[in-house]
Amino acid sequence: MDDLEFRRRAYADPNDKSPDFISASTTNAGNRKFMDEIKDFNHKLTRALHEPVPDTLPDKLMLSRLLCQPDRPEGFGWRHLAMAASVTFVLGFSTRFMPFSAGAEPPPPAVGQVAMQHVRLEMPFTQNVDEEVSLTTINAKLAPYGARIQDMADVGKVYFANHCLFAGGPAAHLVIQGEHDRVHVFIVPADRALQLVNSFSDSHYHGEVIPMTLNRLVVVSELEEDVGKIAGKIKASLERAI
Amino acid sequence: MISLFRRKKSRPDAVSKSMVAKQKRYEALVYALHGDLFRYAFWLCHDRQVAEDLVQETFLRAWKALDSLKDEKAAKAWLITILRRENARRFERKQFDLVDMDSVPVPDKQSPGPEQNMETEWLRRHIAELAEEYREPLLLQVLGGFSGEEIAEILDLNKNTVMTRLFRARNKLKEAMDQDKSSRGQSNG
Repeated sequence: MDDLEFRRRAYADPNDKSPDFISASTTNAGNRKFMDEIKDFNHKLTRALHEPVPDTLPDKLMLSRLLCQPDRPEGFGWRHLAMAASVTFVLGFSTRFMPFSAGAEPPPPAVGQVAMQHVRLEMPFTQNVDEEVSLTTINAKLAPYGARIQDMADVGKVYFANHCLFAGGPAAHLVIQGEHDRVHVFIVPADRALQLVNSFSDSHYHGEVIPMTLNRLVVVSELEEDVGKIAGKIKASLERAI
Repeated sequence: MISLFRRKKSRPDAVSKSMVAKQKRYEALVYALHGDLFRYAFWLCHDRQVAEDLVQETFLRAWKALDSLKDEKAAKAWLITILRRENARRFERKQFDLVDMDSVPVPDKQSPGPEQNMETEWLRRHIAELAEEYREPLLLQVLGGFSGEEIAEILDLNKNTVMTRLFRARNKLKEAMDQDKSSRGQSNG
């Protein structure tokens, strides 16, 4: 074993017990001295690493102590999640059958607010659209509501006819030409929960609600339009069709 | 009927007996190895409190998996493997709570004391500053008393790598120490 190899092995493991290493460590005075040095150093190293152990540690490691610690990270999340899920489930399930008092339930939305909000939101689209809707298409859209229009001439130009969402359910929405500007006609099933009025208005729009056999006719226009006149015209056309 | 009752009675006895045996086996491990594990944990995390927590986690896991330990002679290596895994999990849990080297407990270096103590503290600081890849094999060899092959197995390295790292670890410490001594000698003289 050459000198370099000997020193490498001495550093790697001063207590190397293999015969070739032991014989190398005693061959000459230099190696013996080196071995003494490295063993002394290793002794210092051992002393330095010797961290005193807390006296109370073995007690803390006894099962009685170890297994009843309150917040072991393992299982912690699961147990709480399971608990939360159970509580949520029970609450959800039990309140399902709890009759709420009338006051607790929110009142149904006001028909005027729903209609005017709807018109306002769709205005960027409805003021330019022109789908050149034919009588056949209009009546196809109106069919699910049990309504039909007899003649295009009764309503005039129709830009748009489709289903829409009105107070949480479907309704027919027609955009037609009024005397000044476009007018919105909604045909809303009569059983839709709404706070009803005969007419409504705000700073920009006004409208009328006309009850019919199966539906409510809701007509909304801008303020300069005679909304009552248009509503009457549509109502007459729908009635005649029946 | 009577025999049925007897059987019923004898079974829990057998269960509790094996439980008691398992508990005894566990406690023997605690007494024999808690010191080595604590020191190893301390040199991994440089914090006595965290080291205690780590040892507790380790023994809790060891208890749960005790049946998988077949040979009592392999217990120390087995526990150290669990401890190292727990330590790695600690870093996954709190990635930003890294140990600051300034917080490594080093007693007041100015206080007068025997040369030996000064030297020990100097060494402790330098061991703490060793890169983990050099420190861990050294801990396993000096504290754990493991052979090169055993260290290789615990750290999942080949033996040559382990021996090279052990050589470098001692070499770095010894070099630093010799340099420190010669520079002190110069400034004193």
